[in-house]
Amino acid sequence: MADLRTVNQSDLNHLANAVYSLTNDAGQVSEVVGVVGLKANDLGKEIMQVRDEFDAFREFDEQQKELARAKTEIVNVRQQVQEQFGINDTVRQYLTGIMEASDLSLVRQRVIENCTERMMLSCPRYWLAPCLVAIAAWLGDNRSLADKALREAIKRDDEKTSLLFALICRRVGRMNASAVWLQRYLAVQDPHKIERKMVTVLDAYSNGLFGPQARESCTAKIEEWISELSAEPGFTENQQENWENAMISKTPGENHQGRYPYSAKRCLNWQEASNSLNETGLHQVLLDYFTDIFEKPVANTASLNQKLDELLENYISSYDNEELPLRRRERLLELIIEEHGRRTRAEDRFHAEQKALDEVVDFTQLLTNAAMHADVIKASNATQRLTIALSKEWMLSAFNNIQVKIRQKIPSFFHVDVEGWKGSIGDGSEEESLCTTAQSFFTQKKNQEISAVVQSKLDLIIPILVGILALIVVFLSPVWGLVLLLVAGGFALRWYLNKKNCEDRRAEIARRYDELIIDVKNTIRALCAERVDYIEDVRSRDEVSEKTQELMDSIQVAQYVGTGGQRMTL
Amino acid sequence: MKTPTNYLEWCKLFDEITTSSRNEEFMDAVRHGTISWTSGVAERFVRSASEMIRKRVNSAHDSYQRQMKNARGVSNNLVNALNSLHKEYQYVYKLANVLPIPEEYRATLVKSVVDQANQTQTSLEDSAKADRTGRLLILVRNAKVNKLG
Repeated sequence: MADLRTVNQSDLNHLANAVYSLTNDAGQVSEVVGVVGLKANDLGKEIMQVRDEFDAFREFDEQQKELARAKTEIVNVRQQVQEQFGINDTVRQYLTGIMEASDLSLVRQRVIENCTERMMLSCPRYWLAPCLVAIAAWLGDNRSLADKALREAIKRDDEKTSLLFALICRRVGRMNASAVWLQRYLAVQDPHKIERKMVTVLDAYSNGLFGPQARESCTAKIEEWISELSAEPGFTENQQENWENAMISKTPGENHQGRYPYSAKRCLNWQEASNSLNETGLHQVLLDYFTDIFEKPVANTASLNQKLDELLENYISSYDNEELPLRRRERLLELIIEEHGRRTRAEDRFHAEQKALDEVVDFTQLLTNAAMHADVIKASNATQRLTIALSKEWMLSAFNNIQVKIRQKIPSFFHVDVEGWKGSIGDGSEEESLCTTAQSFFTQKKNQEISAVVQSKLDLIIPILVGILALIVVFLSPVWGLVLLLVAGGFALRWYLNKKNCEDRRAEIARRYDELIIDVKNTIRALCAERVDYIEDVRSRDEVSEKTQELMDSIQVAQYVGTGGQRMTL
Repeated sequence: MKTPTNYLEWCKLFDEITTSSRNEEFMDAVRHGTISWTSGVAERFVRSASEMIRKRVNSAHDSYQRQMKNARGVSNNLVNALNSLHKEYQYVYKLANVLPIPEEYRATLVKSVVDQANQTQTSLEDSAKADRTGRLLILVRNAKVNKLG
């Protein structure tokens, strides 16, 4: 007791300050906890946003690097092509040059012979070099040299030489010789292993450049090959698949995020939905593609010689098989540059074109390639028309299959996630019901969070107990009684501040959830509106398929075989 | 007719307005309809409404062209064709005026209808000048398709 009485005023002040400070700290801590709780959700949202932005940036960065790499590498590849096969280009140029020179009689025979012989020396393996010597000898009436050069050319590449001379003979009006060379060429062809250069024959055939005898041989061969291939088991399915792949390769790769910003962000199956927009957009692409082929006016102004020259140039400038690996590499790099560094998309396009660049394909695949990748295998517009017409049945079946597959993949619902609430939107009419369920979901969460904010019972018990103790002690030692009363007062103040703080936190949670519910409802309404427009968008894109099908249906083979003014039936 | 309360119902109503002629029913539905004027819905609503107005005006023009072709110069037929066009403009103008959207957007839509009507009136008067008798010009000036208020 003596010790109790010796407590001085400064100790009392110190104790009172400590109690006040404790109360204050406790208040601050609970306030901080409240703020942290409030910010937790916002932070979660921000983290998601930052992650999305980071992913987008990383993708963009990778694309830029890929683009830069492709731009550098394409220069190297082109240099290699130039170094290894540049001389082949010169030989090709000489052939058309000699044909023109002989028409105009402007170049001396000696010069032509010199040039061709120099080319023969420069290209020890290239089949076109002895062909040049043969032509020069032919023009100079040197039959023995022409025969020798021809034998060498045939030895190097019989097929290519035969086709080249079929075209050259046609150009100089030697119809019978042309037909003989063509028959020689066609006779060695296997419809299962046709080389890309067959496109030249189709070009000549569809443009009406062959004489009647050669044209008949062609018609008969095409019919024979198609019926031979069609008789094989699994052929139709295979051919349909080829057409499906060729058509699908034309699927647009549009980004629809701009038109559907809410769905792109909140819809869990957005990728699927976006793909469906592109896939249904394919119908318009195909319609435009086929319309362009069939409605583009055919330039008939060129003379037969001009057309044959174009065909010859096209034929000899098509890459030789040994050039293909480098040409393929070059094409892939070109596609990466065209796709602004999106390698996957470029590779998809490349693989679709790849079949067109294959060295050997079956005849019907060649028809598909000429129709759908004309730019890659250098087929003329007339050939595209002819090959499409010849492949009409397979093309239509493939198109019908694609139509069904595309429709099956259109998502029936938008599965959405808005701030943790999940729902499905069918046709957009569910707006109110979804808003109601979202409201109940967040109200329940709000109530849970509010009920979790509970003041500790100790906050109340401690001041009561200390107060009772103070009342007891005050009779024994008024000073210590007073001290305890002060302590009890401090705890009572703490209880009051914490109580107020809890009420504030509850009010803050309620306010935050009320705002969130309004935001979520607005987002749901926006999502429903986007779903309505999405359905309409897909419907109108899908509707185009009917027009595309009508166009395909209307194609007739006989319309697209050039006859050079004579009647033709196929 | 159901009063539209969400975007889907409005789209259906707009589709009907462009294809059907139950004009008064539509007017009531538009007048009493509601739409949540929030981001994501508002811009789509305005786009759909202006698309509906465009289609309706185009169809009125097509109908006018057909009537004029069949009028064979008979004054009554010409007057009927002009009156139908005028009525259509008036209807579209009223529709734009009762859309449940904030004033500034409504005013823009209404202005687009008025501009279109003025342009049509000018174009009608210009083409009527080709008629040497001057009768058509008088009819066009009397009909005044741009008198909407």
